[in-house]
Amino acid sequence: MRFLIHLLAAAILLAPARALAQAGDDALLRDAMWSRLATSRPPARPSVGIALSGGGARGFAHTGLLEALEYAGFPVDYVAGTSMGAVIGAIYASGLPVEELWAFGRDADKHKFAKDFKGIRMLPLLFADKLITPTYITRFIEDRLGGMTFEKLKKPMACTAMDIRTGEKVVFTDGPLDIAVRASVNIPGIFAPVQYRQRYLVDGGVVDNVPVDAARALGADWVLASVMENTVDKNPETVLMTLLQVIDIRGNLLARESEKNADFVMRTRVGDITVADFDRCVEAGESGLTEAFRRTDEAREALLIYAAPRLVEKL
Amino acid sequence: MRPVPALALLLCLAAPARAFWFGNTSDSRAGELLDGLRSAYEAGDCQASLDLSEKFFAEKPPGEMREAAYGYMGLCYEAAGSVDKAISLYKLALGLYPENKLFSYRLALIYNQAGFPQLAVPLFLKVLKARSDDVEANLGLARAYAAQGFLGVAKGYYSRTVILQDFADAAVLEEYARWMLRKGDWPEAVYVAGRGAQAAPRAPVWQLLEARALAGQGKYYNAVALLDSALQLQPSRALRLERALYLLMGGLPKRAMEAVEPELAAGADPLASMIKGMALYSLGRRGEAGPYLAAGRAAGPFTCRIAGSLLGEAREAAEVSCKK
Repeated sequence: MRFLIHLLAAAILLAPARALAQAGDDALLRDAMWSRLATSRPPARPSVGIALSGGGARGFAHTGLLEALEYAGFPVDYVAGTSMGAVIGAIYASGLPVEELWAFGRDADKHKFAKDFKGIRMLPLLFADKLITPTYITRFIEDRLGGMTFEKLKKPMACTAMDIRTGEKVVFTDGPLDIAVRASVNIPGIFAPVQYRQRYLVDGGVVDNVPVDAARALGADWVLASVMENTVDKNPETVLMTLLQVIDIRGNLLARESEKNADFVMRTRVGDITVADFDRCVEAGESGLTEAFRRTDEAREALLIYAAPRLVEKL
Repeated sequence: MRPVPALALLLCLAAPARAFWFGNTSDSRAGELLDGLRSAYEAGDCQASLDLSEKFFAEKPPGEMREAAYGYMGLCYEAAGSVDKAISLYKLALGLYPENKLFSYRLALIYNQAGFPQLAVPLFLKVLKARSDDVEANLGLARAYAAQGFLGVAKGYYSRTVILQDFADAAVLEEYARWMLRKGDWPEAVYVAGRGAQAAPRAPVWQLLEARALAGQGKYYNAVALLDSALQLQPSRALRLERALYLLMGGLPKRAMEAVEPELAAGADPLASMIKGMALYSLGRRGEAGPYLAAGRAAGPFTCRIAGSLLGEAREAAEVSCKK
């Protein structure tokens, strides 16, 4: 009996030391394998796609995620985005450094995105019976992406929109980038549909808020999805905010389904930032960075476990 | 009796009132108690220091004395491990003396250690606003930013810290280099490791850090050479296995197998087994790899899952069998 007690005591005392040694060995293997994966290209490793969700101003959290991925040397071969995810994804896929994305967030006031929302008066909208064009968002997209095509991007990209007449999901992977991105951020019921290729296009968040399938269709073997946790828990005070919140809730419901097809999900809580809080973009981005940084090792491990057979085979 | 001299006489007789007018006796009593409080703290007798603080505050001491007493009390609560009390006290003291650097600094340190770096940041910034060359505050801020993932910002404060320390603190240099590895900032990591090697030339950690920066860029052969140097300074199992891993990742599986043989000969070593299993797998000798990969599962939860993946196990099955 005394022997058993001693044995048990020894086991209890040695357990933390064993866990520490295991963590050390795990880290050695993980970091060495990661260095190989991060410096390889497909087909020596699986190709990696990122699917960036919609979320308006909250979607700026993707910028933080991209920065954390960059620190970790996370390979990104394909980019897919919806709505705000399409804007950030397109700028990123064009080869601009993440620092430039932060600069857009810091300058959100200058770009006056919020004006497109704050300028909306529901009563005149109803009387005029005419949808409006988001002047500042359109200008921003045209300034950044005007003249560019999907084919000219540094990384292959897809962005989603919906045809308001048929309800079909439309995935853009070629042609002019600015029109596709503009269509992807186009809030239905407020902003006039973008007419393109015989379609009337509105925000893709209504049909595919996290375009995991679009990333796979581009060729990604492994997809990391970045989504915003819906934490806004307040009664919308205006008709516009109600509409935005409904779209957001619908987008989140869709996201839960899409997430099941992703290999790894980064979910960022952005507090009480609403979809129209463009003056709080940087705050959202910082939340994205903190969350992505916290989970980077987990994401790296998930990719390595998936990639191990191919990676080791190709050594 | 004329009223004015009578009042003066009364004031002289009543000590508390006299203290109120002239600030002498009670202040000096408080001063004595504060000295006692300080001495007890410096002697490491925090209980005595805290006991004296009650008497001290009963004397209604002036603001600057209270401020000093709060400092000793806070430090004593910290020393006793009463972090909650220390936080409450520093917060109260900061409300009363917002310019006090010690309260901001100590509270920020506690927040950093307790895992609330976001709360530490504004406090460290406040300290640095008053004195930008405060080494500890720069270091604290660097740590607070790094812990949250703001590695770009953290780099600036780490850099300032090591410059202020004249690159003399090897521990801080190592910490800085490790964060730069995490940031994928290879040139900075190599530079800092180089300065570390000047500060503590006999430590193998600098070669190790530089080797990791090279491995991060896929330069495994150079990394192996550096690990050879590190092993000459201080042989260790971890260094030998990291070297074997770099040989394997560099496409030299046979040399990797040779490198782990001493560990395997010495007894069961799951990570060494894993490395050998992976090397055999990469050579297409999967049947032979199996037992080594299976033995490697004990190296840790992640290694276990990698082994499961190489053994062709379904992900869910590996998750279950490798649970921590």
